Amino acid sequence: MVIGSRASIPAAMTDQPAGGAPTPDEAALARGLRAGDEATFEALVRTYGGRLLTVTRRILGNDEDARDAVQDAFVSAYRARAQFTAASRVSTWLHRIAVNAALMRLRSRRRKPEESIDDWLPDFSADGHHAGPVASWPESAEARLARREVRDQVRGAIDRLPDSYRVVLVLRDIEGFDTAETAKLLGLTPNAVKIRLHRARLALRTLIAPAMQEGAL
Amino acid sequence: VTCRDVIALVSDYLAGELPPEVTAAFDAHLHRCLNCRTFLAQLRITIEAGRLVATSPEDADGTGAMPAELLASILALLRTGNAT
Repeated sequence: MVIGSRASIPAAMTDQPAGGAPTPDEAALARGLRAGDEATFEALVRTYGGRLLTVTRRILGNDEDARDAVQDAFVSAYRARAQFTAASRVSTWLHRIAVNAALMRLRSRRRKPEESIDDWLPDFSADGHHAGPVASWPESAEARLARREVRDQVRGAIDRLPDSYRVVLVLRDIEGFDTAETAKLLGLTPNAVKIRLHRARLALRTLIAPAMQEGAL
Repeated sequence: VTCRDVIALVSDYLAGELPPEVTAAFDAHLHRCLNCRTFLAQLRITIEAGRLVATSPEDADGTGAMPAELLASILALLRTGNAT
């Protein structure tokens, strides 16, 4: 288990809880955590469980594995509570543990050959030009993603990526890990991470294109 | 420099990791190729879309995402000492 003491600040975990949830008192949580206080740990599960489930779901691409990974994560966090240091935010510490739990699940299930993403990569003519015109997308990401149905389609597209591509894209472009950290987490070389990330982005562009076109939905 | 060459390097370009002379060739191609400019814009939107999904209310909050049975299961593990 890798417990992060440094903050790779995950985009989805840096903001204060939304939706009217109370702002957790980080210092009190940290004290209670290190003291092994059961009520503190229960508060952590209630406060961060949903967000960690979202993280593990993004990495694993399905609900069942994501739930198992969150349970694994809290068990790991409970066992490692004495190692928590005040140098780290509780949310960041839990995020790192959840990412590791999800990656362990991912490794344990990686048995079957992955689907190729070649069909989702851009086509070029023999002379190296685009095989056809590239139709522009009319709206910015922010404008398009303001719609819940588009966000759901983007999530669905990310889930369609094969595990080895999705996990790199999620860690690098969504969860905020840099190339070196991602390489270490996945046991890859930094160059392999870059290549997979690039191909994953190209494939995701193809997969979300229908949702980004004018008049879609 | 062809469109294929440009698209092969586009993630490195966005990361600012191309050598200056390659960046210059890349920019020169972009200047005259609408398809590659459009493609680059789409890739930027694609990357941003992933980030926006993660910071959307339903993901960033997460308070509605925790199924009651999972919450109960984890709390039971902790209370019974099976997590230790």
